[in-house]
Amino acid sequence: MSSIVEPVPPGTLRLAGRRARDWIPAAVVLVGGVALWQVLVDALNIQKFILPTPTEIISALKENWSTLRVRGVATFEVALGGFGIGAGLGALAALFLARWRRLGRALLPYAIAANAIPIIAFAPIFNNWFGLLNPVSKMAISSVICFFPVMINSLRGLTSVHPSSIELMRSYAAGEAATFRRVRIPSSLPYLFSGLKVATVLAMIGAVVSQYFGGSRTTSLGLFIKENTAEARFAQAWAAIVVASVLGVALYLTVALIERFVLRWHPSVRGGEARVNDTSSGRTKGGGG
Amino acid sequence: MSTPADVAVSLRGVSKRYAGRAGRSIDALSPIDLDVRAGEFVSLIGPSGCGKSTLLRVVGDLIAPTEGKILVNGKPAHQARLDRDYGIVFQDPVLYDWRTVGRNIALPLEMLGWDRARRAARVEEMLELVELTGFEDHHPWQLSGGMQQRVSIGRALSFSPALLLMDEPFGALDEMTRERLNIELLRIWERSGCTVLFVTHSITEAVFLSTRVAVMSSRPGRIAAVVDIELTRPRGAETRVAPRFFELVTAVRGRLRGAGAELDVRDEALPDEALMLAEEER
Amino acid sequence: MKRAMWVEAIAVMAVVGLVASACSSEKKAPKELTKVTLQLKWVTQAQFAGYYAAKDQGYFEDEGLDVTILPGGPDITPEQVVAGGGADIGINWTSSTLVQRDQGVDLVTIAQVFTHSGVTEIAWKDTGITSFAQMKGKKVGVWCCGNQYQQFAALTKAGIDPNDSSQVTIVDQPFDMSLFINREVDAASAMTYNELAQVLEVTGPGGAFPVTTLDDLTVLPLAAEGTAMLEDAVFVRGDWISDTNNQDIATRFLKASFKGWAYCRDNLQKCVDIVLAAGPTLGQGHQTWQMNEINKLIWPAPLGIGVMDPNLFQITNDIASTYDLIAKPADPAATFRTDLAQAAVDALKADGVDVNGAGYQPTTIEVTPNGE
Repeated sequence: MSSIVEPVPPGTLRLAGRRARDWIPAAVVLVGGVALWQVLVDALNIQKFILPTPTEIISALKENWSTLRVRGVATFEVALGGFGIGAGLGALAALFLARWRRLGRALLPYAIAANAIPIIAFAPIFNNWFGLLNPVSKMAISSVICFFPVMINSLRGLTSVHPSSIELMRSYAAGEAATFRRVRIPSSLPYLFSGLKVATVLAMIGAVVSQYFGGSRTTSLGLFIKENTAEARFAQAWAAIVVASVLGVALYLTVALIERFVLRWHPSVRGGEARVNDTSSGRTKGGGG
Repeated sequence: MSTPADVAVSLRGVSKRYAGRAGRSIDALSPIDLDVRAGEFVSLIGPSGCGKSTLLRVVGDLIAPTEGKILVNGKPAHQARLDRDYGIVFQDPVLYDWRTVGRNIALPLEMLGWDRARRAARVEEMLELVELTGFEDHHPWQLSGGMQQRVSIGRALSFSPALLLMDEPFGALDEMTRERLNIELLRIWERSGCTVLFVTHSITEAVFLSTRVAVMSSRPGRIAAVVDIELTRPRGAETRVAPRFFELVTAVRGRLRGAGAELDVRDEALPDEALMLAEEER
Repeated sequence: MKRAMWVEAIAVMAVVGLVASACSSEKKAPKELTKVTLQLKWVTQAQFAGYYAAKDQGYFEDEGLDVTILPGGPDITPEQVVAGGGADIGINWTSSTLVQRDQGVDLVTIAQVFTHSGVTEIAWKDTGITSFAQMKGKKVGVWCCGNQYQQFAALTKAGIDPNDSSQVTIVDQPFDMSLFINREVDAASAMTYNELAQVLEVTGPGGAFPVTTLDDLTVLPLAAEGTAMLEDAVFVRGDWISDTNNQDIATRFLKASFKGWAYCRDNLQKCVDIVLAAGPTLGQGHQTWQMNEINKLIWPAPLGIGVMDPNLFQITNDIASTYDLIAKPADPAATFRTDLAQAAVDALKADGVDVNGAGYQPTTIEVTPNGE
């Protein structure tokens, strides 16, 4: 029997692909960077309205914690909703375009052109369509931003199948549906997740920016930032930005975690396992081994 | 399930022309006549671009011929495909990473609607056939190239087709693995009793494996010659150094030179191009 | 030889060009004009008529100033523009400038042009809202970014915490009245001189007019709530105004501006025309209404236009600190100065310009459909 390296036991989830100690360099950069920021702002006497110190931002965070928490959660819900709708529609559109290629080829240029329109131009329009106070008007912006990356990545995955694989399925007299189910969709999953991860950060950005165009005040992180920057309260604005970033990262990590589970078979997830070498030579017929 | 006694592949006047770009057409195959008897091991060999891979796909009804009749197992090729009368192995093992080795082998059985117990039993058999017992729960990328090809062969034979089509299956492997797998393939072939149609660009491999070697001319390909290989079986390492082996290799090489250019490393883009154009035809 | 001819021809053309350009600028005063940039609080409209009139009537030029007027708009905070060096002089509400100063932005108010507040909160009569206290549990629209302080103070005074969504739903109001007109909010902020008119100017299907009159609305002026704060004022950067040259420029600027405002008080229609020539969004009817309302906020000016009344400032200062808009009460001496405005007013008096408007009487203006 050739030598085999035991695979990592299932259930050993690594945090976003790396062991704990691989995170040390990143942590050092974070701590060092923040410390440098604090020192430089004081030493160079930088005005508060240009760049507040980390300590000022942290105290602004603490002061405004209750309102930031409420607004942050509400904005996160908008981002999540937009992400779900946009990504879901994007994946469906990709399936459609992959299944009916000719129609897809006809429609794709328009999808690309539509994606080129600055989405934020639609914010006032969506406010009108769905109602300024309706969170759907903000979700709509988020979902439009999420749609394209997911669609284009999924489409890539669905159509990047090895031609021999398609020939194999044809040799099994498989129809389009079976080919999609057994081959195209599973092989597109890594691509889909790439698109989803891109969409997570866009979702949060879309939610926050769409809030600049009006809406209910108490649920609006974007409005908090806008008001506080206009009133020269930059430490507060930065605090809200920190909250928005953390939420965006949280969404990203959630998707990354789901990816690791769904793609648990993927070499990149199980990385570090050695390949088996075929050292069998001159096996006797029928011998075990 | 078809029995080996029924299988024959019969090609009559099979040609393939592609509508190329700018109104030019490409003649991939000029009329081909060939018979493959049940239980035979026939190799197709020829210079780059001669259309041997195209021909293999025509037999498998993966490419429609422009003219001619193909009978597989006594049926038109299209029906044979729908009846799943053949298994196919490509140069790329085309195993699915998200399935374990066992589930890869079971894929055609799933599609045939076999129940779990029956599938499990057959997977066991196939693993034993290709000598990969115990690797059922591994993932394809954990195996070497040679082992992956063995899995691919196991998958191809899992539903006991009477015909096995092979398109340069060992082309991507190193020489030593190749030679080892050649011996294994012969063993598998003898045990399963299927008919094999084998495309290769290696003269020694063709001679080592086959009962007959069909030499194709350069594009547009036709059968230039068929060489009987009456080396004794079972063939092994000692066969490769027998004088008769060298004579046969020389004979085949001679027919090849007569048929066209020197062999190149791999077929040109034609097979892929063929696939693209075939897709557009659909 | 040909080359020399070309050179000669070009030289002649250059000389002719220079002479021509020199002659064409005969409108220019003999001395060099100082360039000054003014950042308005909002878009071009009668709210800033005095400055447009000063430019149009040549008052700035007479003072040796070449003033570039920058219109404002949503997302433009005049204090930020001035602090960042994008403009020399800015117009914004003193309440807003107080908050900016509290955050450490070094600005000084050099003239308080409006002495009355124009902010109101309006509600549809049929909602039954007749006071701020009755806004509890309702949807109340306010503007963002420094324009909401007076309303928040009024709510707090009435016992409603504007930051508590269980007590009142504060809605960020865009700078049109569609939210109010569509009844998506129960009450909305409206300037007497702008948004109120927009609501009254609405036309119905088939051009039906009027659709809404004052009888349909309950108008709550913030001045009546005791939380009104000082609005349009002229401010500059602290370090800029500490330079005596700039003080001189500022005084001349104020003199010309005040003269422009006096002109607009005495020549309403002509002033409206001047504003219209500057390309505002809203039309003649709207600008006429606005001009009239703006005059009401400025005149009469007992101390002389633009001279800050320290008592009025203190009221604004108190309200700001009572309602936690600023962390600590502002220091009047550091926040505003009256000397420049006073000098401007005195110079104008000497020229025979009426800087007090004691006899000013507003006219009654009818709204026009769509403000045309």
